Amino acid sequence: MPNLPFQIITTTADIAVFVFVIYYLWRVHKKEKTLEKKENKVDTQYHQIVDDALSRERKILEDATSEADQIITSAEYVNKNSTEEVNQALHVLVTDIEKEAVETAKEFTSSYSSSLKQLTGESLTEFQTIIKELVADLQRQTLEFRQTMLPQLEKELEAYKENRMKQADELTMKIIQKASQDIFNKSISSDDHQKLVMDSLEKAKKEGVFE
Amino acid sequence: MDSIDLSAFFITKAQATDFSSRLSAVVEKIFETNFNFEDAFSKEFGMKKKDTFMSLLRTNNITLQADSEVKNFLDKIITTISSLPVVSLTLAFEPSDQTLIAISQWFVMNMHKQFLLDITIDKKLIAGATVNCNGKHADFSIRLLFENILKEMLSPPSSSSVEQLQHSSHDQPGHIVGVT
Repeated sequence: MPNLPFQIITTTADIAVFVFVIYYLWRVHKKEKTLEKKENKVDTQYHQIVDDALSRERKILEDATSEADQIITSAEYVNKNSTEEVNQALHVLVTDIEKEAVETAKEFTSSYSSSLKQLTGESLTEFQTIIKELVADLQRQTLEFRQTMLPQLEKELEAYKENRMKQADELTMKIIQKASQDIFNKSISSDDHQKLVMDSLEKAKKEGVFE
Repeated sequence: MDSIDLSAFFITKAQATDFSSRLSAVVEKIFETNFNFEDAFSKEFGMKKKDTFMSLLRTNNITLQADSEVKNFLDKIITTISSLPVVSLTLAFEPSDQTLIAISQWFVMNMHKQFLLDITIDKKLIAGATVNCNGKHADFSIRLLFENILKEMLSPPSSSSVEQLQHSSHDQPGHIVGVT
């Protein structure tokens, strides 16, 4: 009999625990479902945002591309126009410069030829004067040369000639001497050389060189 | 043994110096063990001179077995070499061996002793020789005569001077230039 309340209590505790566990599991399952819903929602929103961003990006790129095309087209147009205008301006400039150059050249040529003519006239007169003076100077110098320098020059020339002749003679003498010595030396045979050496020894002996 | 005739071994001063130094080398080896004089001599001087030297030893009664006798004899030869008189000859040509031998033999026959020759070549002498010995110098070459003749030929000659020159060339003695 004392075991019965104990059993009842035990059974009640078990049932309570069981109910608690069931409740807890149900609550967990519910939270899980809620979380799953939220996750799907977030996922959907994320994909929406990404799609949005992609479409905006495409739009921006398209806009930028079309604007760039417009700018390039207008730039080509401007460039082509500018080139034509510059070419025309240059053509006009070149024509003007050519005309001015021709006129300037004509003026320069005429003034230069007139200056030259004037200068030629003046130079000729001066030149004639100078030539006359030169001729007079030359005559004076020639006379001076004949009277003073020429005899001295002739004397120096004579001395130089004599000196050179003397040098030539000495050189000739040396050459002949050397050539003759060589020729004589080679023309004498070994036996004759030996004989002459023996004769020299005999003479040396007679003179008492070896004593 | 009064005088040793070494003319078979050398003629010139340079040859004598070389001979003397080689002989000294042989002398240094005499008292070495297993020394053989003939081998040593032929190694230094060759077979021909070795045979000549052997006959010189025999002539001077030197026996090879007596090392000290051989050494004394070699020393005497070295001393003799250093005392040989030297004659300096200037020649106008390159003398052959025969000419050198003939000159050396002339001294042996005429002066009765060997003279060492100191030969110099000077082609300007043309022919003949100059002799320098005992401080005396004499010129027996034909250079001077030749130069005089050449001068006479190149300058306007007078006949008498040419005849004089020809006469003087026939028996022109060598003149002793100076004693040093």
